[in-house]
Amino acid sequence: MILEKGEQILFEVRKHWFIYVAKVWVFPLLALVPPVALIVVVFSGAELPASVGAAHLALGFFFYFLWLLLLWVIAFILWTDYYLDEWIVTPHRIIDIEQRGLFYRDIASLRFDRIQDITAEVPGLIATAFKFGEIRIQSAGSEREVVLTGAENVIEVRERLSEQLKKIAEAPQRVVMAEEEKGSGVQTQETTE
Amino acid sequence: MSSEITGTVVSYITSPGALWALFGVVVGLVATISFILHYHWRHYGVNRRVITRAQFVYFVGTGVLLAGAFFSLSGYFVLSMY
Repeated sequence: MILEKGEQILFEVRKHWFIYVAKVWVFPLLALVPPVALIVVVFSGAELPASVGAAHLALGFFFYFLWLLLLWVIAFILWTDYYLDEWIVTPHRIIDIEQRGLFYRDIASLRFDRIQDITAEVPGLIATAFKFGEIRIQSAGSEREVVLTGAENVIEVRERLSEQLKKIAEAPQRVVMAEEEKGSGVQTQETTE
Repeated sequence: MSSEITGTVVSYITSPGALWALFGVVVGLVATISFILHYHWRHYGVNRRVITRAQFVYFVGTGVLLAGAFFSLSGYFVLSMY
């Protein structure tokens, strides 16, 4: 499993469904090509050979089912590629999973304390309408930049990541402040009540 | 001459052996791809509910299409006899 023992998922960031639909919208049209072609031939008045009968229609159906099966399987291969390409955000890190086709999978992890900048970009009219875009995270040191293109709710995701980043940044300060208070004998409001 | 060649090719393609062999190859390919997809969904899918739903839709759809291909091919040979 990608997660460490006891590590919880805060949220997942996926590509927007529009990205998938943009790849497969043509499939229903391709599925309709054979019946439409048959209807065109029948209604065009073209004379079919006398030998063509019910048996040939059944054979046509056989090839049509194979054609649909091909489209069906390709659609699910593309869906798998789309669905498994994601970011998993945990309290301390972002796990970037890049799925390319069925046989290439790249997993990288970026800790929040290494993050320097998070940028979100919504390019164009369609992206604005469907609220998707590109999120780019720059990290300190030699770690690579993490990018997710076509991410859903890109602005909201950026805000949530920034909040988490802020929490992580403030966490060590809280510990120091608590230690200082303990050392100087300053009591907090909670303890005096 | 060309019509003779075409006729020979068509009769070979539509012969029972060739069509059932084609169907067998398709079933083999679909089974292999399905296994690979199932493996990916099981091992890499984080949201189990979505994956279970996707598996159900995929396998039901694939089953229906394969059954359709099988029955239409059987129908072709049955109707060819008359």
